Amino acid sequence: MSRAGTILRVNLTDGRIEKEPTSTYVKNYIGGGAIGAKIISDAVPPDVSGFDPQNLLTFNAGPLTGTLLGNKCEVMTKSPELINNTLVTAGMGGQFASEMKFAGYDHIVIQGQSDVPVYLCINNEDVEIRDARHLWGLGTGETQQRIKEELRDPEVQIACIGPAGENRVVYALIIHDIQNAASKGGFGAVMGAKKLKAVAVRGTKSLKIADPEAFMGYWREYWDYYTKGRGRLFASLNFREGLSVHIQDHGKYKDVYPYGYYDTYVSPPMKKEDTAADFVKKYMVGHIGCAFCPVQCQQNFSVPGIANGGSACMNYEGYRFLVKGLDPKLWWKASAKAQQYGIDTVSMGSITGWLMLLYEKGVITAADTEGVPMEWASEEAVMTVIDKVCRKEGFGALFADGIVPAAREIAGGMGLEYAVQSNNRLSTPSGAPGGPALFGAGLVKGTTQMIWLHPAAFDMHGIYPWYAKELGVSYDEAQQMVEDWASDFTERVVGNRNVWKGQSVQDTARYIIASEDAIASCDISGHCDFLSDRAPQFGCRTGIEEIPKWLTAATGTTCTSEKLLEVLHRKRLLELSYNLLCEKMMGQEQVRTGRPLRDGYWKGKDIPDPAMAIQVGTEYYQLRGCDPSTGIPTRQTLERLDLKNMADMLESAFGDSATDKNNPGAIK
Amino acid sequence: MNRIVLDPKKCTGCRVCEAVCSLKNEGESNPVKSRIKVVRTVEDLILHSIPVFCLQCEEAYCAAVCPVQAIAKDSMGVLNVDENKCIGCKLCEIACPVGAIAVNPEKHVALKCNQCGGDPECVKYCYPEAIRYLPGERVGIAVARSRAGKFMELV
Repeated sequence: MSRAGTILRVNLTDGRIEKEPTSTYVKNYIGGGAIGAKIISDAVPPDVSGFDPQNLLTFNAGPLTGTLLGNKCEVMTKSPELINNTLVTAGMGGQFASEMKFAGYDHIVIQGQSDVPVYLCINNEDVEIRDARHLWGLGTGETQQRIKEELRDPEVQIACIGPAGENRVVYALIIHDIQNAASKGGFGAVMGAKKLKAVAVRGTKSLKIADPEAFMGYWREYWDYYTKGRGRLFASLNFREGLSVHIQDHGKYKDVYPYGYYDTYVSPPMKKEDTAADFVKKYMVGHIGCAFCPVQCQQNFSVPGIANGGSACMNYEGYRFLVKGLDPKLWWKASAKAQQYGIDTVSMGSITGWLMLLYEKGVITAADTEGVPMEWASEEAVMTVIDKVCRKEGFGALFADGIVPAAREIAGGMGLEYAVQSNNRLSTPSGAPGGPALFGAGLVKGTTQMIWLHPAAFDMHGIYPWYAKELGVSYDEAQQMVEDWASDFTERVVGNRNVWKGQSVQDTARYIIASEDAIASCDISGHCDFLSDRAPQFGCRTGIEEIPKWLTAATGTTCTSEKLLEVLHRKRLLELSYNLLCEKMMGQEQVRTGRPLRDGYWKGKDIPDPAMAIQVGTEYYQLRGCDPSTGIPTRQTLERLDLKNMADMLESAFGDSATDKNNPGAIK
Repeated sequence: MNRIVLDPKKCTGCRVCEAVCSLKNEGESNPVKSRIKVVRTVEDLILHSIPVFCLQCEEAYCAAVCPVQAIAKDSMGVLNVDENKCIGCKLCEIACPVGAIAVNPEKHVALKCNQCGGDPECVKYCYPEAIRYLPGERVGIAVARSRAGKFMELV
């Protein structure tokens, strides 16, 4: 019922436009990212590069998208950024996916490659590929403005790329509206390779709700949770104080973030005017959250003399700590520019910081960067690197494929020693590359999800003072409350209150799976995964208990937790199997770079004893029905999940997998 | 007599009002069938959003132009559309000075806010309180209070 019912397939090579019913995929995959993964793995050979015309770019809405309980567009493709071009997915918010559903489509699948720049124009049933030569080269804001004028429709919703995507820079992203993005993985670069400047959607149809009364009942509970319950603190502080942007302020703790690229974690004390809270107070002009969401976690800023734009969090890595640029205005200038170029700011900040470190260490001189000295915190250096990389000019062209290929070129490869990348990606989540924050995600191969699995993820010290003030309690009491929320979550999902503290391997594998399932339940239904069990420290909650009820009320087909878990397991193993095939067939070794955490907050908190990691990995693979020593899903598991074709492909690629010690699925 | 009062500066453009309105009154999720519409405009990368809804005019042009008297004021002062009488002529749509009436593209009858019979769903779920439902005699001071902050900054 709440599905739009149709999958739209557009082939940019020959202009073919086809529609097929979503229903074919529904029983086994429900919707969203699960159907997206099925569509890609069915059609794209694992050895095809992310830039190949055969690769698919899919925009996936879920059954809840376009209703009060969902707005997410799960964008999925075979990533040109990840090594061996495995599957990658990103949740893009805003209004785009709802509009897709109102236009009648659950999924938009882009195939092929156009000869000239084009944009896709969808107006309910009418689908047209239009010339975009006049838009090529424009920034993301201007592109959307021009398309709205051209179509004479200010209500159209647009996802587009900027020059970085056009130039196939592998960490280019897709931008929708002011700052909603499908980031990290190279979605913008894939669009650029397909010569697709934008997708513009306008829809006016209805989504029917099977049981409106039950649905509204669940929604009211959810609404109450974020307005009166545990989620109210984060939601109301977003409204009044733009909290989402300064959650990474340090509070009592410091030295959490890498400073001066990854050279140290010890940073100088911050002045009040350098804090994100101060920046928000001065420059926030409003909110730009997603459709139908009570939390509105993205804020709109206007900084006179610099730029207008939006942000959801002031990433302290990226353009602040990695380049030693504590002044938030430098971050803002770079971020606003990056939004127009359509590039990931954390990746760009990372590259800039790395060049600055090389300059300090004498590995490069100003001559290597076209006469611009890569001094720490230099605005000239920061802006030059963005311009050069996104336009793919001069030394910037070296970075189009990522930091490791660039490091091999620069100074005869001497920079490689300082280059850090993690989880196959250039950029890292908060915390530390190769370190505890990636304990799970780095360990378990082929995951498409970034999972927070360490207390680092819960060390959101920037929120404690605000919660404390709001509740009239002490800082320590606020911290204790948030830690209790994390404990409540892990107790609920794995029956262990301490597992999130990362001090023991006990139940860790089950905790990884529970986190994966919480996020994936949102990915397939179209609900925001930030407001899920993934972020209990913000009071968020949604997962395998709530989603099945919501799906049942919205779609009219009974969904139970057991059924949902089976679909999530199927999705996970489909992605894992496909990614193993990509790795086997493309065969590139991951370059593991980076140095262990050693100072600041992280002193003495580094993981790991490799034996612990292997124990967790083994347990994880057993629980997921894979061979514990190789990580390859067993035939028995795959056949039980209706994935016999994957079992056959894995067998022909790996032979007798369980005994093949050299296969890339093995834990190293 | 209560009415819906707008503070446009507080609207975040989240469109919850549109979704609850269409679901409550039409049983479907579709902004097209919402009686309140959020006009979102991005200008120089700043989002401006204004919810537009029926202000229940004293001298109601929609009712005056209706050729079949399908729009009438009830005892609460709310202008209601009688869907059985409505002929879908769209004159009310043209006459409305605030753009708060459109014709339902499927049912072909005027879509107009009836304040949900005294308990407007949109107001109930407007988290930033951009729209409030207040007794007419309290509106003046409430609006004055919400703007007074500006003056307070000056003194």
